[in-house]
Amino acid sequence: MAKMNRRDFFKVVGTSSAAGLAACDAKVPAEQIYPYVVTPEQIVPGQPTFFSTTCGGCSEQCSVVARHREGRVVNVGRNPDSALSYGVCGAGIASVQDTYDPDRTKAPAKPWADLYAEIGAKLGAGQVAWLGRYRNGSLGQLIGDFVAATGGTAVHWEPMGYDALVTATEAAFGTRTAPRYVLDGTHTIVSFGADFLHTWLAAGDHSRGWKAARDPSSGHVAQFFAIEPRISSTSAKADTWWASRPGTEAGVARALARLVADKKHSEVAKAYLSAVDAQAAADAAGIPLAKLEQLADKLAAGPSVVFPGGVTTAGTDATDLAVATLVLNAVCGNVGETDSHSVRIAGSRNLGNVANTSEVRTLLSDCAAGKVKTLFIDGLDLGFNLPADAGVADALSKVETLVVLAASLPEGLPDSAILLPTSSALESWGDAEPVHGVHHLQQPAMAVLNDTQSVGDIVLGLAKAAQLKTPAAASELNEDGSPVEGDDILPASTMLGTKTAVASFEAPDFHHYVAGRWFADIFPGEGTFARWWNGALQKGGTTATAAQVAIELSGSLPAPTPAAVVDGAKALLIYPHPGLFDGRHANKAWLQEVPEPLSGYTWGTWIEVSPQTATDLGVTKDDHLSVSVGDQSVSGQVFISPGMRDDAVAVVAGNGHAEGGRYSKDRGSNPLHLLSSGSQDAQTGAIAYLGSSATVTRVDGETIMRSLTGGGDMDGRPVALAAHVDAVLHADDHAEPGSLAPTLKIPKDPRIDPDKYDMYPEPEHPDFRFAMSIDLDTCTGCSACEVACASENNIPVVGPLQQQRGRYMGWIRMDRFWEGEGEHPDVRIMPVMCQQCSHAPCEGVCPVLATYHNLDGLNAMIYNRCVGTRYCANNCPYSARRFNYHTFRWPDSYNLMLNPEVSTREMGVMEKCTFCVQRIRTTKYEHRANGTTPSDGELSRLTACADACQSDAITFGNLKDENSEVYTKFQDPRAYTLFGELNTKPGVRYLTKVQFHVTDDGHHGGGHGGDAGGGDSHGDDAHNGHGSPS
Amino acid sequence: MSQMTYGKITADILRPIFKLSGLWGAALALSLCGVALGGYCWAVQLEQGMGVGGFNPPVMWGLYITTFVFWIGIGHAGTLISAILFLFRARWRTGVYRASEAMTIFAVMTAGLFPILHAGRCWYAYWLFPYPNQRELWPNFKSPLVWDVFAISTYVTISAVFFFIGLIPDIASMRDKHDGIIRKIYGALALGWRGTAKQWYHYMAAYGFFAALATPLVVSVHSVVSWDFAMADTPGWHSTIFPPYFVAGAIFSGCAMVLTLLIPMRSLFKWEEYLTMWHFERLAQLCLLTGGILTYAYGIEYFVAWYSDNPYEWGTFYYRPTGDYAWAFWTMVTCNCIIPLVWWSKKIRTNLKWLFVVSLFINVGMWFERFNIIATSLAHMFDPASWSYYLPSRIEMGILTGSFGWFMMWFLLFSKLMPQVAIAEVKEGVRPPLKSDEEAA
Repeated sequence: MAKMNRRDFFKVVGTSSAAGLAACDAKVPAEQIYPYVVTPEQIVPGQPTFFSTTCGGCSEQCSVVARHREGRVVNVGRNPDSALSYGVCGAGIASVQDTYDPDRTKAPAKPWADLYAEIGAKLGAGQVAWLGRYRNGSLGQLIGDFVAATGGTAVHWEPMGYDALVTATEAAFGTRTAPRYVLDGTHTIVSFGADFLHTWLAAGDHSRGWKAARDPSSGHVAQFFAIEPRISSTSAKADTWWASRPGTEAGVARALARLVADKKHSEVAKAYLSAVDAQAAADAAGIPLAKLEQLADKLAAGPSVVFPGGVTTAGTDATDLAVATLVLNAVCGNVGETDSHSVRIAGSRNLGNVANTSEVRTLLSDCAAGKVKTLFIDGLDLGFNLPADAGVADALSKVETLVVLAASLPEGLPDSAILLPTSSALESWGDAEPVHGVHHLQQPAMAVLNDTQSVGDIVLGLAKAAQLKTPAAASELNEDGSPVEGDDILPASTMLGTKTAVASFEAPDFHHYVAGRWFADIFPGEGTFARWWNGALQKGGTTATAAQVAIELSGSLPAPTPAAVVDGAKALLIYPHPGLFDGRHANKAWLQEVPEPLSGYTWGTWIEVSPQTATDLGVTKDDHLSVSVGDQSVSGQVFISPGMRDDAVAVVAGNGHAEGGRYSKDRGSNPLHLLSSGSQDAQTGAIAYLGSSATVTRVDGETIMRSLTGGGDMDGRPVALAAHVDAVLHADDHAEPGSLAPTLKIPKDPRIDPDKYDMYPEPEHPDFRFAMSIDLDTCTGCSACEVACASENNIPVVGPLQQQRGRYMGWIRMDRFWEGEGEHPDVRIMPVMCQQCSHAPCEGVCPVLATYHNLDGLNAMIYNRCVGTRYCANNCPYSARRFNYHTFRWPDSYNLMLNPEVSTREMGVMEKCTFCVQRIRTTKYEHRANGTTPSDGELSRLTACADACQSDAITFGNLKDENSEVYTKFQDPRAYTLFGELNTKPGVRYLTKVQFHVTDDGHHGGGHGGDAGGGDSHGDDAHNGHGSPS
Repeated sequence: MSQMTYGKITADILRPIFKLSGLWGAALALSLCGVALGGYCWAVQLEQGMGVGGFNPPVMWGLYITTFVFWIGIGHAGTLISAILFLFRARWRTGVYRASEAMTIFAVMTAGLFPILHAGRCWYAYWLFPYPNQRELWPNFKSPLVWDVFAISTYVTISAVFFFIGLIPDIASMRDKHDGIIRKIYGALALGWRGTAKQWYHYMAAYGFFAALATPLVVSVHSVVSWDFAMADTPGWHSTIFPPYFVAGAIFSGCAMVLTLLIPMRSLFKWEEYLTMWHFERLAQLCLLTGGILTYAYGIEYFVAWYSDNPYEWGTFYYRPTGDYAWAFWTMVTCNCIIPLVWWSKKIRTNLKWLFVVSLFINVGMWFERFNIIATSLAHMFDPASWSYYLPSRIEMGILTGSFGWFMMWFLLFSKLMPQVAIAEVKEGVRPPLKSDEEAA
């Protein structure tokens, strides 16, 4: 070492740094892909790049924008350029946890080429079948071609899916598709159990529509009627809930259709409706006919939308119910293709190729009979999603070659299964057509992390290995008739290298397959393909005119097949978990961690009963119940829901995986195993999630969950407030902010100069006063904001033991209250985060100034300065602060997911919402460099929560800008500050929920435009410096 | 005490110091076990984080702050007895003031541990002090916790100095009883005390001066501690009654603790002649007075909560006796308001066993008072959706045990190092030896 001089030292340092930097390159995608705003040459460390891609979380197939930093995706957000643009749901945001899943299979058992050769050799023997998730677009076409070339059959199935709906649409309108439900402009919304704001069909699209339908500034607020046995996370938003007897919903839908038809003197579906006895249906459901008449009046009078049954009401008459709701929609005049129609068959949800569950059952019995030699399972967890007696394990063990395409091996498979580990959606090429005519492109937003391949590449690899021929006439780029001349129309050389983009098995990889299909089928033919393709990649897709389809109601509708109604015992209802859905997202820590909004429970399975049932069984919230159907039973902690019928019991699906990763394995129990195969929809064989006859008994169990959304009682305090719809709609233009919110009245002493109420002066906000408004009416409680916040701000996952102690670290929490003395509980859901007070109680008490008010109006938090006295948290009236009880750690692979712009926190440090200060700073610095000011458009969805919010309930912005959206919302008569009487002067205002029923209790009820003190006492709080309180 | 002589007093009071007793050894061993347990629990907490406690958001303060306030309160009686009663020339303080002052010092030493134990990152606790630093960072002078730092550090300094001054003549007595190196140590501590008239003259002036200086601290320290709560906006805390209410409570608990400590000490050290029923009765009467003030304060809190028509305030006060923490509330009321009433009977308050038992109840009750204020208020803050229920964890209970061990350890060690009764002051109460006495003998 003595010989090493300065030059040598620099050589060593330089070489090793260069080697280090070269190693960094390994994570940059090797393929040419196009960033959203900045071109790849501009990738600089510390600067994010954005890629539009398509979320692979569910069949809604939303276009999202992935934020990429130094070779890895750190989070996903909404794509404002998509034709279907709205926020991203929690599962969508958590899709990065698919990519960084610590329990993914990282490499196949053998080299890929060997696997392809081995499996490809078997394909020649025939008897091939494909049983996979719902796929459309290029992948759907490729799989179809592949299976057809082997002479086999392909079954695309969705658990908790839409087979009943597409079958019913086919029966009613002659097209096998799922209608697109558009809520915009409707005056009445009816749902028969569809969880349309959270898990059903197209929750994002519906949430966007929900916001439009509930916007008082449009002059009308849609009234939502939910007719189903329990209050679901969607019907929590219902203005009226009629607890129908389980299994009678189809009858109610037909009765309503008949009543509306009578009122409108409509001839639609006359034959179908002629036999309907509205009185009998109302009696069976336990709903007074007079109420149905009132609803029928509303349906006859104005634009409406009727949702069919969801999973909860999918009984043995699931198709029947769907037909009845479609007929009701048709009678109401909702079906059509124009913008005024709320139920669209043209431009419908592209779910036509979803197979009926009966086909899955047939395929499995074929397997059991030895008729299938090679079976591909694509992304399905059959052992989990099918009833225990479906014989999955037995059937699959008879298959000679079982090939599983999945991130890791699902449960209940024989040992002989060959796993082909698939890449995540963020690592794969692909496309989707979620709605007919709307095409979303999926480009890899980062390089493949492990030795995995995308499903498309696997299928191409297998096809090549088996030397299959593309069956249909493949559209090849170079054979399109137009001579390829010049650079401007030569995609092969400009964009796709020297390889040819063809939608056939000859395509070198799936990227070229997708491009080839887009060239052949979607490219409008104007300009150059290369330029158009690049544009589509940047925007995330394109739209084209959808094919017209017939939208005449069929003359021969299937005759009603009423479901059996459970007598004596309790009817079992199974519903999907709002975050984990059918269980496919169970290994995503964020989704396990975020409390389900109604129960407030996490990390487990709970059993939902009515308060009466709980009393009968002698259980309280910490006790356990067992639900048995036949000889199957599941047990779990009880959730006593006031929104539940006494003659039913509900169990949440999603957990109970026997195999799986660290977050999903052996957690809770799987209620689907309660069901028997005999319990199925008469027409499609779909699993009947409703209506099994169940026995509920009390069992011993360890209390493992605690409700993190609260006990439900508002205790007479003005927390989540509501205003009556008439008062809202007829509010005076000059109404004071908050005049409709019945907050506490604080009498003021007239002898005191209002300017001298405060001991401390107003904080100065020279250019910005960042603020947020949250609309409690449009907020659906979907909790996407919580997941987005965790993703953006590196919020640790604390796990079930800590959660049970209430140590949830989420910076946004969801408060849930069961309010009101009406016929049914009025559910109030309220996201609460740091209110960024101008006179923050937390700031004064911190002994070391670790939290202080900055010039932008934020309560800044300096983690490094925090000593951990926790005094700030005690003094926060909103209980918005979170404390690091331990140094919470992530599995290594999750470290890649951390947002480098936000530091992680060690034990002993307080943390809280910062209004995504890192995003504010980035925006401000960009503008400072250019000498400009951020526009309201840039700010209004800047924070992670506002960006994620699908119903746009959260608006962010600068109060110093009087033209900003948030300023306007702050002046709304519905706007109020939470606990504003404490004079904390928060930077968050809530807009009251809009309610339709009048309660006597003016405190949290009607609020009929009285001069509630809240308005004048803190009317000017948030825009400081704008005069004094009046 | 007419048959008392100076020599007998010195011998009696110093006797326990020189005579090792098995009971004393056992007590010290027990205290050391407690300290070890507390130390282990703290080590676990340092290693794993505050999560080993039972904190259950939004209850961010719990047993540690409860115990902190408890020990600070205990510390009050000592200064009250030694300083205020000195200024009021209450002669009965003579027998008890040394032990109660020692108790003050050790209680404040124990209390001082808790803010450190309780901080999430206690290794940075020194940031609360306004020390000059390169970053020019200062503590937040608006924060009651910073006031606490000043109040308590002032209190501990003044109390220690006052305590030491009171000890000087007795240290000299200790010096005179020893030889060798120990004599040198005591000699150094005695600061050259020879008991001359001139020294006594200055001594009494200094003692009076420090007594006057310590007197306002009795009121101020616990007032400042009460501001930790009163300055916060939490319902159940935000109340102007807190300073006098806390001071009264502190004296109440402090006097009870003095009884708890002195009654066994009196029989152990055979000091029946020095710690008489007269002393104990006065202490019991002081407890009756402060307990009465406390009960009144409890009542007034309810009246204010009701009269204010503030739903949050009333919510908390309704919750305390009826909610999840009813057991803690009623323990507090029973121990602080009801049981001490038996002392209205002279028969009972002059019975040592009764005095001892009731004083134990008061100690328990006063701990629960602080627990009630802290846990119930935090568990039921403004937003009903985040209401919670806190119970201390085993680690916290271990640290609580450790704090008693720590306190007793110092107290026991002190009893072997210094006289627990002020020899010089006791002698003041005795008729001075006269030549005629010798002649008569």
